[in-house]
Amino acid sequence: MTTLARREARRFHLFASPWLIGFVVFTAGPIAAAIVVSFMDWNLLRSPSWVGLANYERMFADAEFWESIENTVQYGVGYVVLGVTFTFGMALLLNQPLRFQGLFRTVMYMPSVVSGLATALLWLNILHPDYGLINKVLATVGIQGPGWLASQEWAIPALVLMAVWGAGNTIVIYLAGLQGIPKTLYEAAEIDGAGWWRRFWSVTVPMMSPVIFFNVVTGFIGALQGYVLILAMTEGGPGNATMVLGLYIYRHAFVYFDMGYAAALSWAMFAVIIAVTAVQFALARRWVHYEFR
Amino acid sequence: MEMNRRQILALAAAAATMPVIAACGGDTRQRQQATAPVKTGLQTLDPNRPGNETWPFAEAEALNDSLTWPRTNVPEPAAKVTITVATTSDIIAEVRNLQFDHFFRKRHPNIEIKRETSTFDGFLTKYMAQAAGGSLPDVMYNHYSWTQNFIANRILTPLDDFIARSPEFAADDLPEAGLAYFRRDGALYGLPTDMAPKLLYFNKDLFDKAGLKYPDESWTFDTMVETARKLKSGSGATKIYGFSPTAKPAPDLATVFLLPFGARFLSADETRVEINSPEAVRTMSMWLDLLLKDGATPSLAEELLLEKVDPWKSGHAAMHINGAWIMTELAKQKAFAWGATHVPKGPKGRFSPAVGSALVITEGSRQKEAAWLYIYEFLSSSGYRFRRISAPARQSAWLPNAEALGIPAETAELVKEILADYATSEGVLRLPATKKAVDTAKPIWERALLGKIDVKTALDEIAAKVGPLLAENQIA
Amino acid sequence: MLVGSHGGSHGGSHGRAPARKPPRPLTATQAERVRRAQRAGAYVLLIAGTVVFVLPFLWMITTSLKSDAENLAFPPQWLPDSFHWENFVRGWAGSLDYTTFMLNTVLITALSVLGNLISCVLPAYAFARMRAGAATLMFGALMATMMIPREITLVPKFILFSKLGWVDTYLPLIVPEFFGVALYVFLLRQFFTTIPQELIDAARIDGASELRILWRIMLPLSKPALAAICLFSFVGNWNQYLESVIYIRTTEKFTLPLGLGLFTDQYATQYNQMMAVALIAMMPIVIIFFIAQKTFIRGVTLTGIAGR
Repeated sequence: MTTLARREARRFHLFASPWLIGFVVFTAGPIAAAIVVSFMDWNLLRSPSWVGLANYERMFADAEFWESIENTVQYGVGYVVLGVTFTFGMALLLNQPLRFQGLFRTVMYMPSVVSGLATALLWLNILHPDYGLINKVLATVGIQGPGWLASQEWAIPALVLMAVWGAGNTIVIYLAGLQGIPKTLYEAAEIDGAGWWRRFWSVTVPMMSPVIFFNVVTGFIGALQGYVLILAMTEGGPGNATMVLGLYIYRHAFVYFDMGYAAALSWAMFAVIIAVTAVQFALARRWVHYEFR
Repeated sequence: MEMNRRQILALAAAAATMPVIAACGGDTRQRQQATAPVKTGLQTLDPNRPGNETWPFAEAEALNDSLTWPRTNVPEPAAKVTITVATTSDIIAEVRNLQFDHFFRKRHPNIEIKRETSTFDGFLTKYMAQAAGGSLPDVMYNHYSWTQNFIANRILTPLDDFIARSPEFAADDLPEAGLAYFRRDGALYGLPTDMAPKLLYFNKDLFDKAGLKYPDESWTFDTMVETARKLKSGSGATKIYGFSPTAKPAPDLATVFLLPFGARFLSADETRVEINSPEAVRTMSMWLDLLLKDGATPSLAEELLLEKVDPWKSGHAAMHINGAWIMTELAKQKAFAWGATHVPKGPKGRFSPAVGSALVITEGSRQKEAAWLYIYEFLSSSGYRFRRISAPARQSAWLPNAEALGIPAETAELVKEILADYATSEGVLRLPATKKAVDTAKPIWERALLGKIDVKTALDEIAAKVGPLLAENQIA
Repeated sequence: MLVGSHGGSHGGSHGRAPARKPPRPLTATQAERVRRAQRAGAYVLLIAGTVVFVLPFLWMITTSLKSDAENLAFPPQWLPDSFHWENFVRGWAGSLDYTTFMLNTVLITALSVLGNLISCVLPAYAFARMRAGAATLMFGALMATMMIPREITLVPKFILFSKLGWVDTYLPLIVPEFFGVALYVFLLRQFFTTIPQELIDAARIDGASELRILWRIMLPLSKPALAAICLFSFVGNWNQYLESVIYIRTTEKFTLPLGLGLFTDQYATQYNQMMAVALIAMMPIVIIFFIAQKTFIRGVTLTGIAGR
């Protein structure tokens, strides 16, 4: 039995080796360097100098850092809650055996493909407080729309809306997952007299749970790290309302070239993400259905 | 099932054949360079005759033949050397650069040029990484706000010795105001690759419609503000702003908006914040009122969109303060008639920031002499005339370039006059903390622009937050 | 309303009316009516969605056809006065040779996709279906690499590759792609875990090797996921920007995303030519997507083999 276990372990290492070798050769070194850099002052032009915990002390005293954490969490939670449910609905819709489905799916994926500049320009026009499409529609029913990207309160919701709209990859993953559910399970459920709601909860959701779990976990990681969209739309404004941690790190790393501080901020982000992810893995035992443990 | 497997195979096959296609493409490419130019339908792309619709090769060739190049005692390399030249450019400027290189190689057969291009936004990221990796190009672009930091970190070579060995350098052809950014402890580390003051532009059509007199040399900022209020009209998509841009934290905020009133953003040595002084508070209040009380400049929401389509360029601003470099585009557009004049006077005088970028030679370069030969010609009067840019640092290139670009001669004369009289680098931030200081001040000022906090509170907060960042400016 | 009928099934099963508790048989006409209503509802939603999702694409097309003057118009002009098709030629080959940039991008992308596919399947199988003492720890490390912001490892990585002399070559963009991408390994692992253990046990009893199980059972049943990874890898590498910026120095070696940046100078953007080139640049992705999504139509149903 132990020989068997040992053989399986050896096989495991063999199969995992492509990633393992890459990890050791290309990833582990830079990660170690990033840890060391967080204790240093480094502007890329001079050799780094040791500063001990100074970067971390500065971080804990940095009001903008705490503000950015708050914004990041708002954005992340908003994106995951809205994104994971909306895209699931879209995937179910796009999984119907209907005509032109290939076309509909391609169109749905368009936002993930088109030029970022086109997307930015388009949304600036849609969200504009005075002559944007959304506020014009709201005005016809007598509602005065908010300032969206120009308002400190509505900028994050507007960005969440944009991010969800561009979440084509999540839909694709759901679509891929939906193909793996045995038809027989639905047939059996139907024979038992289950309506669509019960079939959804007792067949679709449990069978899809590993895929939903994947989307929730990676959705959080992506949203907590994400900044490209925000950089293009608001650059963190108005008045720091959309300054998320990812953008704050980007600024210190590639605008101010304050690598030591950027590294310290990065490890703070890592801590936040790993905490969120660990909680999710712990909760997963209750609801994610695996065929193999 | 079978169909699916076939599709996956098709995908994999498509992926696998692509390198083959690419490899073939690579071969064709080399062959093309040697023999036939690529037919594009519009014109031909021939690596031996670079050109486009803006800069036809024949025009470049004729222009090049008409120019004479300054002499220098810095020797030609005895054997073939390669220099790497890294600049920011766009498709149009890049073609002009390729043409310059083409003729430069003919004049200097022993110097080969390896050209690196980057967008302005990506340039610093790209070359800071190269600096960390230990291989910078020989010749490199530098924005005026980067150079002092590079000098302090000993990345750049002083050029004074090369200048001394080049009798036809014509130092008096370069405006002194534009060189301060690249000077340190008496040594000069960069030569401007463009340089221009800011002017007051006006939309003649909008002035005519309102029946108002065009701005002129006699104007004060009071006149301008008052006129801006009168010119503002409409709302939504048809809104006309009296003046743009709205005053907000920027490296040259002080020179344009504060110095005329005797106020500053930072102290002259950039180590103290002065934006909450009584004069500064009064002045910034005036600019904020122009937005919040009069609606005569674009609001934050309006700018959010207009940033991509400038209100001045699209004919929605009656007056505009900006650099002379925008004239290339202005001269081409037919949407509205425009004019330009001196920036208005304030109670404490008239100030126009002279700003521009530079080319530098890196300290690590092993081909400093060849690099000098390149920038010496590229940044000579003839070089500027060849590049046909609308903001040449060489004064002698202003008139010929303006004529070639369709910029009225009197406007070109005006620019020369401003550069000679009052253009300045005074108040323009250039030390390492500049970006941080501006980025820190901006969100605070934005809250004032949204009407959430009053001017005094905003400026005090800016002073409190920007102050500690300035320690970085005491560079060794 | 629509949920009950998904799963790639066709014919009878999806046509059945959503039965409420207690089940109540419907007549054929009633069932048909419900079915039609469902279908109509689905189309309404899909068409509404199409309008929302296709907007940026339409915007790109109209912008690509505008004259230089219309570029600047404000309020933005949605339709150009006349169609300037020449923007495509001007942008693609009027100043710089974008065919070269395209071929460079094809080379990098094709090799990277290939590398990703090869190097993600094996570790994913190991993480999904094999036991080893270090498995949990290694899975943790895999997940952790996703959570470290790449901005902070970018420069150390750059220094590593410049020590190897790889700067201004495509190697830093391609070689690491042959050593697994954490996100894709995790994705495939999740799909591998949904495949019934009975199938694998049966194959093991028949004496199949692990590679054979992977090749004959796991991969065929995970085609949609493999297609998804192909797609993501293609899109990701095709549009790769930040790393290209720092690794690719010489202009002739540029990729399309770098080339697209050159339509912007410090003060203005040639939107019409840029969008024309961007449209050409995105076509391969649209085609790849269209092929990939076909694996979602037929569905890899486990009908009959899942003995439960």
